[in-house]
Amino acid sequence: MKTHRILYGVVLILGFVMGFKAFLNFYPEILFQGAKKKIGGLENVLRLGNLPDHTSKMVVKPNPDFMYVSCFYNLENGPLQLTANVSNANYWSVGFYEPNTINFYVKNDKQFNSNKLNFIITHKGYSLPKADDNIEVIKSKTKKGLILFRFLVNSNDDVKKIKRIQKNIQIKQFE
Amino acid sequence: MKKTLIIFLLFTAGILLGCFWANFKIDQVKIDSDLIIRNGIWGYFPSMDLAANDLQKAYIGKIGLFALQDSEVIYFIASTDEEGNPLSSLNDYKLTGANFDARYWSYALYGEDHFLIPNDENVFSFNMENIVYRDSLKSTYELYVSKNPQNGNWLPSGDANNMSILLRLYNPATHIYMNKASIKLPTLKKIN
Repeated sequence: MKTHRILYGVVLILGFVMGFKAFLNFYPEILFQGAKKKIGGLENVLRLGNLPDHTSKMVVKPNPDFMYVSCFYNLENGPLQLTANVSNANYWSVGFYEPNTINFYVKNDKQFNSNKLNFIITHKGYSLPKADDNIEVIKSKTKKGLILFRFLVNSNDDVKKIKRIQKNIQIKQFE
Repeated sequence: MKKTLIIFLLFTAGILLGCFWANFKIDQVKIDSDLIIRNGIWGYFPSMDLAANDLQKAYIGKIGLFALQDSEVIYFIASTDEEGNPLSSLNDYKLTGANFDARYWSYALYGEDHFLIPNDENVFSFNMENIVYRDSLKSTYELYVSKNPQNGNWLPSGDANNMSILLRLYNPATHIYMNKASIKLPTLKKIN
């Protein structure tokens, strides 16, 4: 009987530890999937955001000074090419996120040598022919993730300018 | 057979308890956690390396999904006034601060649900460009958080409880990175 009680206790503790670790591990991924669903659920499609306000309920703590461009990517059909021409004096950046919400790459305007961005996003296991020097290769640990551009808006004129910039960002299958 | 059933039920109960406890611990991070360092009323994470800590990753996901690495931005968050009371739109507050040595900084006000608070003015934040400074050198400023119109920099608080103010410092100077616990951050005093 005593052996049974010890066994039952061990099983309960084991379940508790596994439940605790699994919840912490998967919770961010659930939030990621929730955000993806709210943003439209589409993959490899750019979503051009307006300035956030109180109606912006897709992602918590939106910065009301930023216009965003987001894209949930999927590399199952091979690498993607992301291009943009970002001529803008204000701060802007582009970040890449894993489905567990970890920001594994970020670079801002001051860190680029050119206004013309040219990225190839590839899964880390994918063998890519040598890319041109003007192409930056992003190796994603996961086949799915998020690209997030942030553009700082300081005036109404900025809104118009950034809308033009947003529209020339493109993502397509890399060939 | 009975023993197997008991083991299965206990294991399931353990998993459920573990999930419940994890959710509880995520909520507790804000209240009582070694993960958050304090500088006055402002809290911050010493590192935004989310791969290093599952609890921090889960908490940040809940309150600030898709936050950036600290190489790009430092986040300071205040959810109480100087007396330690939660921020409520039933009260008026005066934030008194100084300019920061950063590429861009801003204050944004959020409700308990971590979204922007509805207000007739459609004002949700102030930043280094649109805040009105007290002096020509643009060194200091006052910011009022209130549901009622205020002269000067007025951040409307609408109708909300358990609000938080998020201070974002993008590309701050090295000395800020080195002294997050001791740099002078704004005070936030209840004024009514």
